[in-house]
Amino acid sequence: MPLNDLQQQFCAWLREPDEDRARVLAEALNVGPALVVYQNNYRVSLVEALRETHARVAAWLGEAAFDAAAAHQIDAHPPSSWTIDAYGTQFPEVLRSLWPDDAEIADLAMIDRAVGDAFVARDAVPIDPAALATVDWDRAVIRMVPSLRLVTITSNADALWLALASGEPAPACETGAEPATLPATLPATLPATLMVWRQGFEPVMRRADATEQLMLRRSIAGAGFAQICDEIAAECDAQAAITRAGTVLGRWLGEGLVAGLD
Amino acid sequence: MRRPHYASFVAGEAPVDFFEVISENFMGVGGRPIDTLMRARAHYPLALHGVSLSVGSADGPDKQYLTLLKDLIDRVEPAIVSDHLCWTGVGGFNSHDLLPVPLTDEALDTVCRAIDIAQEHLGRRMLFENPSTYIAFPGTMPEWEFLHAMARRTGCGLLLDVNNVFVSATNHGLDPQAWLDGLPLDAVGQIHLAGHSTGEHGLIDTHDAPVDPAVWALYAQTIARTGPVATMIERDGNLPDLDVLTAELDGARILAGASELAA
Repeated sequence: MPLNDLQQQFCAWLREPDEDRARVLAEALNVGPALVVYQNNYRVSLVEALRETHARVAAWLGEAAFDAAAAHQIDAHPPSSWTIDAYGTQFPEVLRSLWPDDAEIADLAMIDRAVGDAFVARDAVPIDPAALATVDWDRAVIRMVPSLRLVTITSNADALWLALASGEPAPACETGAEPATLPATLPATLPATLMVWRQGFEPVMRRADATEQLMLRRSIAGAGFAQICDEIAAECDAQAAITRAGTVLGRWLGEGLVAGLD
Repeated sequence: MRRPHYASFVAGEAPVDFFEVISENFMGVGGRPIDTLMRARAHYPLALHGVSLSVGSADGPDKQYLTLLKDLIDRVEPAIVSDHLCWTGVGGFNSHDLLPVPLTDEALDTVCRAIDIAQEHLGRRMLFENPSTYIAFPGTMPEWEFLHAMARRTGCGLLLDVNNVFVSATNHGLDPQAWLDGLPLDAVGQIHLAGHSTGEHGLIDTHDAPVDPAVWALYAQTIARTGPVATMIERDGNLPDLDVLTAELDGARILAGASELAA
């Protein structure tokens, strides 16, 4: 049998295990019952990869429910990346389909992924605030650090995630417009945009307020700081817009979120 | 180097002569993982051991993968770069398992072509590990002949996993000694030792137990013929304290003599 045909048949069986297909495959390839060792290796390694990436989801769901969800994921979405660490980007959607009334589960999965990605993201040295003195503000574009991930959540999964990570009692799940479990300093409206990035070696997260959301979205799209200020000014006067944008930028600089002003 | 032992390696206190990591865990990443690797690298020579090159795949090597591996090599300057004689997927599918290569002329051509591409891209010689196999596709030659031809045609070296010789030979009803005798021992650039377990369908290369006495015996015969070769004990599951592993490593040192490198 040509190599490509053999490998295609073998992979098709790995993706869709079935005893009859296994028997046919074993006969076609003239191999013994140990064929199933590879089926077991395949599924176990993917479940382990999902469990490592989604430790908070696993803790929240419990082992049996997590394994069942992982099985759904593996059946629906075979891996394709060269690295197993990238496996499971569709897992939040799988969880949403399995638990449509429990938004915190898919939200936790998105946060798990964002935190994992931030942990290993390429290094970047945050810009030194002293460098602002030479910036041409009419042309400057804010470049965020490469570890930054934005996650849209529709529950208080951020508070839940932090509680699970620290071993503290988990707060009650809330998917309403004003969850009560968040500190008063955080934007409480849902859905919320969660910023996840890395400070030093440690991932951190917090919710973005409305001005930040606009500035993030437009900066990532390549809009200049002056242009963003003009857009904010549509909601207030020009000086107030500059003040609001400057306040946000100052906060970002302090939090190590800005890699450059290009 | 496994996570629970990072501190000993970063401090330069692990009693080893080199250390090995899975290449993919450090490709294209920043943060603590690469920082830990670089700090350990400051104390020891490094072996990069890959699991995703997939030289036996009909698809051929992934160029993005090779680029990321080259970036890592340039950064950490490893003493050894290795992967496996295996394939992991085809047609855009990746099983993330080390699947057995059919031992045919067509597969040999495919493997050699992939190794040539990889070694040219990386600008260096690589080692390829003989895998543990649980099935054998219909083929035209034994694995040792395949490895001989692979090394001769590409100039690559062999990462000889002695446990894999024992596991594969046992699973296929062959004599491990005869298997070992057939291998191109002059091409061996590194040796792996590991533990295995017994499953329903034969021996499984689980890396979760001490090295089996029968594997130690094979290792003794190997090292007597190759001379000192960098040797590493692989342990993934039931990970003991580092001093337990280094005590096991002392067994390799005794067998190989004081001049051998061991990790």
